[in-house]
Amino acid sequence: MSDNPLEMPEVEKALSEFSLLDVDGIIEKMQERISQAEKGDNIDDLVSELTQIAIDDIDGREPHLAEFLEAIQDFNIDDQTRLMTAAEVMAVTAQRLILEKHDIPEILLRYFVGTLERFWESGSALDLLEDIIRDRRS
Amino acid sequence: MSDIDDQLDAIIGEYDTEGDHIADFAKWMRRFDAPVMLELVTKAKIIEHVVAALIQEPEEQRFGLLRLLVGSLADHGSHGDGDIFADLCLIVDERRL
Repeated sequence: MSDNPLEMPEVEKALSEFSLLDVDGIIEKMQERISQAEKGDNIDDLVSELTQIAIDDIDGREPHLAEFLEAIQDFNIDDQTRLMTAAEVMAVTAQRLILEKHDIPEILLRYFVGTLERFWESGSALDLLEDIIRDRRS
Repeated sequence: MSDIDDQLDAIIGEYDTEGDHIADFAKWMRRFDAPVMLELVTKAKIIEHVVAALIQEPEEQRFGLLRLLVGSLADHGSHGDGDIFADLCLIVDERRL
């Protein structure tokens, strides 16, 4: 194993998935923490700390992203990596759907809700959406 | 009638029996010219792909991703004034009827 934590494959892999958060120097803060790590440090603990740095930094500005990071902390690194990739797809897609005027035609929202309802196999997609909206508004 | 109109007719005919969202979308698109239609169809396809990807995730992880998607839509769109939540509430209510 390398003496440099940045060269550890697990850390490198986890860090590379944080491109979603590459705003306002979050990555730099994470790299600073990594530079203080020592050989023999527990990798899972280190990744958790890095995630916490991201959560603390973005909470308030992008609460849904902070909540998401909080939620995936219980998973192992491979699952966290996979979920971060999925999250990036979701975030990029949301931006892609929004017109240059920063507005989403209501019909596209209808299409989104209808598609979600059509594909969702268990439970009610509409109930889930209502829960999310209620949480975000409270 | 153009090819696009023919295709829209086919889509509407296929889905219109229950006022489905696809038929609504196809009807609404008719007011635009071809380039705008193409843009809108592209966005609709993106929605289909993303929802399909979301469904493939294990059930216990879907909710978090859905929250993230809805949050991203709300944060980046609709002038940041929370209109998307209001729109979503109306849409959900309508679909329950």
